[in-house]
Amino acid sequence: MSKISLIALGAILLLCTTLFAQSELKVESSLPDSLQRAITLAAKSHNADLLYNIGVDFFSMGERGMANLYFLKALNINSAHKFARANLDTSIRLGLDARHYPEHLFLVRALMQTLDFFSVNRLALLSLFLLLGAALSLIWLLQYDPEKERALPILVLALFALLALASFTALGIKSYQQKHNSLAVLISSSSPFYAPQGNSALWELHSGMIVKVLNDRGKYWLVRLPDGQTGRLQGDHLQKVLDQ
Amino acid sequence: MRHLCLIIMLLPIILSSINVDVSVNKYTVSTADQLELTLKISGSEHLRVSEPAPPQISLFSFRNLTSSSSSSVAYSGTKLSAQYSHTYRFIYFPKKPGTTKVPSFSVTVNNRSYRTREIPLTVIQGQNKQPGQNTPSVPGYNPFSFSEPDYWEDSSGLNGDTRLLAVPETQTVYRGFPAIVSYYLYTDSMVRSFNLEDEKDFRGYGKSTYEQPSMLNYENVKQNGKSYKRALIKRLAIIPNTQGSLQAPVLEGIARMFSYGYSDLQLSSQPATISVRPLPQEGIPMGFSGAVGNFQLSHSLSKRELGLGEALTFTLKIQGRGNFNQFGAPQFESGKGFQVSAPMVIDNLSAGIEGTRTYYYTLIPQSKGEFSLPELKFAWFAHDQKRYQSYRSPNDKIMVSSTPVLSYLNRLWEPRNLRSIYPKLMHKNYPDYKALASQTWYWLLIITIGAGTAVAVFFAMERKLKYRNPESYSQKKADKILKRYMKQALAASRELSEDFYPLSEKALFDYLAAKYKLARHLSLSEVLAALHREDIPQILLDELQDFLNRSTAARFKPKDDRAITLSTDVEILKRVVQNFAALQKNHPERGKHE
Repeated sequence: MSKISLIALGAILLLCTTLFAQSELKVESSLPDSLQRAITLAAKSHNADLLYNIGVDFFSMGERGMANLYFLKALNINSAHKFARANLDTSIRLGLDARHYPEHLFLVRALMQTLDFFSVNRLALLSLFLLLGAALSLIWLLQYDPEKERALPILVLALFALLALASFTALGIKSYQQKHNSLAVLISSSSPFYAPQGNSALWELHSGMIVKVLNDRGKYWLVRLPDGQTGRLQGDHLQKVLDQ
Repeated sequence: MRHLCLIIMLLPIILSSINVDVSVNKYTVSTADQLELTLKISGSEHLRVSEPAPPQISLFSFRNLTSSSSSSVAYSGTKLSAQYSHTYRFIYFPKKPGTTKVPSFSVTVNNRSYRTREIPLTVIQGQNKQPGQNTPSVPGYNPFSFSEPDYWEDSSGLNGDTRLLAVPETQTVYRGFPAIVSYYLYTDSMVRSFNLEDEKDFRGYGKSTYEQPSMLNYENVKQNGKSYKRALIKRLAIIPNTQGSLQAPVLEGIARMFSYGYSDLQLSSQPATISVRPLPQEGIPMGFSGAVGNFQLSHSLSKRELGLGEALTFTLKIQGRGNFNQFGAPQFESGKGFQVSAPMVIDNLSAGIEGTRTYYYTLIPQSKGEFSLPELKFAWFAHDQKRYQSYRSPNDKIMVSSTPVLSYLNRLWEPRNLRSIYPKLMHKNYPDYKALASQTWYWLLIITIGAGTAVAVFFAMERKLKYRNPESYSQKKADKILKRYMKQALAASRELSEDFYPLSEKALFDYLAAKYKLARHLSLSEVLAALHREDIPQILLDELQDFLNRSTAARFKPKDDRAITLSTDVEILKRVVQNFAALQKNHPERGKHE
């Protein structure tokens, strides 16, 4: 009797697996071949341009959530990818949840764009250059004629040293963020946004909304919206920028 | 002063120019009707609105809430103006007759709180009848208006002569061109309101509402020699998709008459036909995709000189009246050195037939050099001219140069600039991303820089010591020489061995030969002569001579005496070496030998 029940259980599991596999296949096969190939290639080769192209394809298909996700993936690799940044900005501005993205002051915007400009690789090169500059200015200072005023070499050395320190610090932070990106995108057409405590839905969020995941345990994830509002969203409606 | 302070404090609120307005569809509501409370928030900046809770109105029960938002952006020259709005519609059902008011309630916009005004309401007992599609009413009878003749008095019969007429703007149109049909209520009686009940449609057209007034605005007209009052009920835009005779939709509604009391009159518009002609089959230009209308086209190009990797925006504006919903975006010719995006379309149209449609195309050059703008063609049938017309984009020259690094920050100055989505970046292959900071060569370079700096610092410190403390420097240098050349001699001195003298002489000559590039086979006098030629101070030569003399003499001394002088000779040797070490070659004056 127990053997029969085991066989039945195995058959049910097999059936469920097949059904799920079929539903996945349906989702994937609904994408055009070229896009399917690009997604497969992107899984092997992390290239910002390729991820950006996938985002453009999804946007033209009206898949705002997946488009934003791939633009963010491209920006995670290269924060200075100006086309991905511009398309993401446009997508956000045209989205139904644009009001959740705060408008920053000019100086804040300038600072953010400057930080974006210095991608991880650009920061690495800049740090190297500044380190070389600091080393050369130190040698210059030590070789400087002791009879002369040494304010200039000291100033140059201090500038290079400070900039190199700042650059290496920024490189460390950006590298960490790149490897631990906690952003996620809402990929379902809409999803209720619940208060952090309780079951009251605050409002409805729509596909493409970018959130920061604070806690991804359980069915509902604790997230923070760009305007600082914290709440919960259904986890399977979200997709993280970094694949686990 | 107080006023000035108040103005300064209120300045941000004044400048923010956010309007919060609340209105109702009617101040007197029957129990058979519904109340629509509209909250409109508008402003020139982006709005962050917390959805307001429906206000509680006594005598009413809250039924439903709908919301909508809109934004419009327009350029005037180089100036950008934007308008944003959020509209919330609260639907209430009256429960019983009486007098009440919509209470003032609070709305939070951009973290600032605004309070709405109170609105008085009256609920009257009504018949159990569903509200119609639209209930235009008379603006209000003015008992003090004597300037115009009062045609209301000329009514003949109980309801007089009251008709609903469909008046086409033109009797003949070409297929695809929107025809406007106006529906007027003609009456010589007192019609207080008109309730539109239904629209009967026929085959062969698509339609949209062009205009629908919210109240009956009468004008005096004459028809067939008789004076009437006429009010526009509705204006429809009809886009024929077939040819031949087309019957316009028929409107049905109820006119509420006033003559010794109220009475209702069922009305239906009289049939109206429009003759639809086919488009000419000859002379159809290339690129014609079914656009029919009276259009004016204009274009603009964001820049003519740009860097590689930058994008330019080509804007095509189509203005006028036509079948905007029946043609697609014109496409740029491909493969002319640019990658072109699918355009972003911004419509500013009324009823989908009249206004402005703007296409924004983004073009990205693929290489450096001078290029011609790819061609963009658009063809349409000009209705009033009765012929096809074509637009062709100008053959502008675009100069593409290397990209300045700071071009990345360009978007900083135009954060709200509307753009289309940038197109894909096609490459033959997509190499895997590698973080430089995780590459071995990167850290080797850093280590090389560090090591090189350490070496340079070491030599610099030596130099600094030589300048700051020559005594200590020469001592250090002498120690090195002694360690290098006199190792065996010093070992012999510690053992009081007689080998000290020959070993120290040999070591001293080796050192001097290495420093002054002297031949090693020279005799003592030849060495001294050579050193003299090197401008070695005489005192130092004398010290050297003295040590060598003592060395020669010590070899022939008894063993016990030799031990006594050995320690003195070692000190003399060290002093000689130190003084020579302090000498710079060809710069004897900087040595310590005065």
